[in-house]
Amino acid sequence: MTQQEFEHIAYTLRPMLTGIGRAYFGSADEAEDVAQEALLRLWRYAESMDGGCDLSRLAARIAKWCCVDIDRKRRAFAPPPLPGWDAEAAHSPHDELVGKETQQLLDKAISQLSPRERELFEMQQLEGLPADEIALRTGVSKTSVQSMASRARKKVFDELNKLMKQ
Amino acid sequence: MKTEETERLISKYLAGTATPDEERRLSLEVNRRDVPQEWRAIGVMLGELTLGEALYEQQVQHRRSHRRRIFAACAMAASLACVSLAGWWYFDGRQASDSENIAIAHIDGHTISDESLVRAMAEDAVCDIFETADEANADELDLFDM
Repeated sequence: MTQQEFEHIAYTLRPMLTGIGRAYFGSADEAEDVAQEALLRLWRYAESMDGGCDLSRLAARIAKWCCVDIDRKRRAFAPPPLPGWDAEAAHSPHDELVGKETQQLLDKAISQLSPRERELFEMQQLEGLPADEIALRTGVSKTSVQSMASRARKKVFDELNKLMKQ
Repeated sequence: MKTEETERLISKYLAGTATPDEERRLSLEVNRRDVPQEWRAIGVMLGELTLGEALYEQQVQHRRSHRRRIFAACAMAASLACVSLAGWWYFDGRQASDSENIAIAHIDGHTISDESLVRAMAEDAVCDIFETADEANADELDLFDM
């Protein structure tokens, strides 16, 4: 995707992204920060994608993640406490390092997949698309998408478990 | 979430049949501390975007319900204020009309506000007058007779 294409898409996505930020923070300034951060991250993803791909769903997911991340960094207020969920500790430098390591393990596990399985896995992983939408987009039947997704996930799961035990 | 429910969602996720909403719920569950390593692997696979989405939804829901609670409290306070204002207005008005209808009489140096008592005393007084008048008439007749 070229920078010009992305700039055009970014212009159309911005209102949706600020809306997501406003729903979370309730303020226009923070919503602008969310939109800015989300577009920056989206550009990193978009560089590796082809021009015809619909980025709005991915942009929405990234914006939601940005809200949580900005909130966590600013510590303005804590997310609602979950029993056993330690938001402070989960983002210590040690945990970030562990996070990076597990991401590397995941990349390694994904590399074991066939190109078709990898494409499908990443579609679900990144864009959070349900099977029927992937079927529509790829032209493969929903049942085939589900069985391929299942095979890919089980492979990654087994490989990841093996790597994490080492 | 119970362990069985988490395992059911993991099976659905691995079978590729979990809905986006189920994946978000699962992500919250497997990203807790002290979970089995297998669950942690699922957390890694679901990715930070799914977790971010799940936390986002949770927070927005929490804010919405908080806002709804504040609105409900304000609405209740406003309706209570309306009811008390209406009640005050009604009883105050009634008291004023009652005070206008109070019958006050000064009889033999006493102030009497009981309407029925005043009426009874007035009737007694009228009867006394008639009796006195009858007696006077009778005396006059007696004089003529003489």
